[in-house]
Amino acid sequence: MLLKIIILNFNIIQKIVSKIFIVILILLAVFAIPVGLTTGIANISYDSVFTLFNNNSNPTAHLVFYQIRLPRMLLAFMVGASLGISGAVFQGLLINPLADSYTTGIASGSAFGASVAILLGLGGYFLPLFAIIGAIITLLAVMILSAKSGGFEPRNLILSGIVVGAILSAGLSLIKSISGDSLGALIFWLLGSFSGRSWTEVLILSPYFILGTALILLHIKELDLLAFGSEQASALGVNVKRTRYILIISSALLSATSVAVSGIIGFVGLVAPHIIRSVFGATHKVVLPLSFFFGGLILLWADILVRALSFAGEIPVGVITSLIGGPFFCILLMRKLR
Amino acid sequence: MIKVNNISYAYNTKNVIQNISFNLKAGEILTILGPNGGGKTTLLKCLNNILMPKTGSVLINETNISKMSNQDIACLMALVPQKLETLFPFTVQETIAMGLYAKSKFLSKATQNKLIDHAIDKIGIAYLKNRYINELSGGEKQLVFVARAIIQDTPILLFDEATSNLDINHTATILRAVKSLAKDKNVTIIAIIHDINLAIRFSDKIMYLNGGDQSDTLSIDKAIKPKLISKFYNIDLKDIEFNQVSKTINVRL
Repeated sequence: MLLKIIILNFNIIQKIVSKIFIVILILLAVFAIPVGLTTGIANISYDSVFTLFNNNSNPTAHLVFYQIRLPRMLLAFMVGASLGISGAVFQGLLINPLADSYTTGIASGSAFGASVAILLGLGGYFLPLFAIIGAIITLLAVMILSAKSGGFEPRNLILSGIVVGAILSAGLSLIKSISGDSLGALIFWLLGSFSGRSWTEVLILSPYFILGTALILLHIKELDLLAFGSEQASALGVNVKRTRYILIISSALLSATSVAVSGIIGFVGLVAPHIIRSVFGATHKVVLPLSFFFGGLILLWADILVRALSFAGEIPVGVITSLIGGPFFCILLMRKLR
Repeated sequence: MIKVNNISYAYNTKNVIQNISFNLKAGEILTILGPNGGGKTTLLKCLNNILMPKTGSVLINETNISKMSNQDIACLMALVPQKLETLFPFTVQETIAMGLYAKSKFLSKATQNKLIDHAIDKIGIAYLKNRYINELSGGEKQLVFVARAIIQDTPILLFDEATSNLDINHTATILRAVKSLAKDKNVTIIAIIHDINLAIRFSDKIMYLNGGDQSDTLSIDKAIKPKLISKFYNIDLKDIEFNQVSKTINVRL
């Protein structure tokens, strides 16, 4: 009887917490637009945000609004959403709540590719292109190593990812040590930022963003079953090998292109799904869309914070997410809801 | 219903089972008995195509399962595993609903909910419905996975030591529920149970297995011979006590 009362109350508390969380998410989304568009060095008032939708009487404000802040905000949301949903997939697929694109070496591969482009003095489209090539080569290396070391199982994938990631980190250190004049640019890029990003980056990310997200959302049920291990998923009717390939490639695509356009941004892929799971439970029909939305909002607001603090030179957004995300994650671990 | 022909499986170079064959009719309950490491779980995984046998074939209604998709196999066979862990907080209801994956396209949401409630009632775990699977005890988890297998509603049910973590009350509930599936719905059951006396009361047939060594599928009377138990479990014959009246087997301590 007592147990039933506790369970009943626990469920009611959970329901209230999840409803409050949804309200907070909606408020964050609604306020992000006016706050995001008016935050930054160029002074644009709240009033002008709304009038700018209809006319362009103030060309400077119009330029800042359409060519700088709007694409930057959109990009921050897309990158955050990509990291959030791909983090949730990596965690479910590798049956490890601490997994993300770094565990599988994908982010390191992408960063390595981009740093080669910076070292060679290549900018523009070359940087994301090199980052994506780096990620693809890393993904292939991880998959081959995993297949050769006993199969496409979570444990093998994590171990292969860690090994390949470690080699790439050493490679990255080597590039830093020989980069000479481009060291500053390289380090700033590695720290992750949306500074100076435009519609170009939004366009580069868009096809991968749409394709990767769609492929992931088509495999929600399979991801639930895979969280109990490949044997169980297989016994319940999932084509495990094919599903794993599709999910790994889609989430690698999302995280690689995110790193390619923004640099390395930590903790979003880890924290967003983790918080969503602790509030809403583990079913992926809830975890995936909400990690997507929450990840996007985290990065959107982190970037707004960066712009609000930019009077003393811009802090890379990756630094903010790690500075705030790290301690927050520690608190979450200590006060674990379940 | 199910025909197993000369199945062998090896992990790397170590042969675990060799040339295993048997047939079962619809509605029969077979328990596989044998020592630890004797290949019982491996055999069950081969029957379900989780492991691809190195040789031999498994035919269900004359169709070779190696030619079927995982989804087709999941419509024919459900497996209750020995042990199952997840780190993620799925509710018991969500976990049981996963048993409907292979057939969910053909079922309405209302039918699915009805089936889930039916399975929960059958196993008597309504009190666990909204709990999280990763917070349950080993025994409670096993009850959930039995309910999940029941919901798959397959003509064949594979039980891998599914009652090993359960108390006598829950063991009886599960085995009664499974037996009723065999009698009422003609479901064929292949089970691994370590407790010989429980196997005797539960099964129609018993098969002993120890690696390459296999007995026929024996009726209960033929299966409870101390000589057979001595041979397959490698126990000294004089340590085996057989009670003719209660038909129970005990090993002297």
